[in-house]
Amino acid sequence: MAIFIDEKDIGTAWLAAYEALQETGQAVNLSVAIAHPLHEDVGVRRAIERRLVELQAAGTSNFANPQSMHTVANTIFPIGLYRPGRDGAASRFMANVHRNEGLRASSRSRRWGTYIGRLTAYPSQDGSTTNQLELILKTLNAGRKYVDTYEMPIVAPDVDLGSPGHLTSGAVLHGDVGFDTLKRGGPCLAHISLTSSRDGALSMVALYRAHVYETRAYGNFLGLARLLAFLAAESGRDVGQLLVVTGHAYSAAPGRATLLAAACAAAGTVTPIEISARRLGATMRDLDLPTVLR
Amino acid sequence: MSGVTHSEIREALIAALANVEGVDVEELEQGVAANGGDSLYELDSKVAECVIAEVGEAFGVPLVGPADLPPDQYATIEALLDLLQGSLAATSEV
Repeated sequence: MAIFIDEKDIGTAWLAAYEALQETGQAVNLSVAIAHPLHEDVGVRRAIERRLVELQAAGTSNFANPQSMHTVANTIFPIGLYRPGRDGAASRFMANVHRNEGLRASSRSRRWGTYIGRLTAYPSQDGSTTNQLELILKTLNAGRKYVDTYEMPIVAPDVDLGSPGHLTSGAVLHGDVGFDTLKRGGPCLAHISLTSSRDGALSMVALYRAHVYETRAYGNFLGLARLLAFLAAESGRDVGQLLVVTGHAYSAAPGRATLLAAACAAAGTVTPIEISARRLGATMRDLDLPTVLR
Repeated sequence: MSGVTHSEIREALIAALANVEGVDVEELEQGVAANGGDSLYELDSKVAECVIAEVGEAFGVPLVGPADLPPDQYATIEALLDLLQGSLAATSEV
């Protein structure tokens, strides 16, 4: 049965969705609506991160290299590269992303790439790429105001395939279904859709084929909210709602009830999220995973 | 990459960082001074990636990215400078 969560901020939304996963550890067609995506509950964020560190320390399988929610969010929108308030801020951000993706191309840890890489250099079979963010901003800033023409695929059917003809249950969005195949380890975020409503707000729908709630969901909500804030700011719009639809949402950690209880106990500190770089020379190390268990 | 001095690498690093941040070199140097110098001016890991890419391009050599490095090697301007100097020296020995 499909589940619909409708909450105000990222933290509260994550809590409600995680509660829905408690009984069986998974859900099919889980939709999470966040009315004010530029707000989060830092208590919930920290509770998740503490649990990830505990699982790592305990040697739990699949939790050997946990990432902070900030790091997860950076895969969608790396805020350290966006410094608004100066001419060409959006272009500079995209140029910075391009540099990083070029450097990452030879990294030992590279697999299919990053979400922001797909947004700024979506691959085609002929080797060319498309800067989807640039196209979206161009359309948003055009004279004619379209409401619903802003689509950004992440999955590239002719690039992310395993072997043609070996179909899996991955999201099928477009193109030749013989090539619309995904292997495990490919992008979980499949597609982003934007709506520019007549009240001046820009809203987003993100479609995930799969979503792990302990390691990824909160950071992904955060990254999507940052991306939405960027697009709204660079097109002179307000930030609207964020809706995250997941085909297969699941828990991968033992002790779901333990994390839920800890997150509920830590909840209550709702603050605005950061959406751009800090002042020159300022660290973001406070957003790393906690290193000391209490 | 023989013959490149510490000062030349710092100059390239500062120019790259200014470009990434969208400020001019003078403003950046003021920011470095305001933060207490090269050893205290901290870098976001994504910014450090950009700087490494730009400096590598400036000297015509591909350099290793932060994804394959421990964070303390690019946490400050001073650390990144040491990293770049070592990488460029290693390139010259190949």
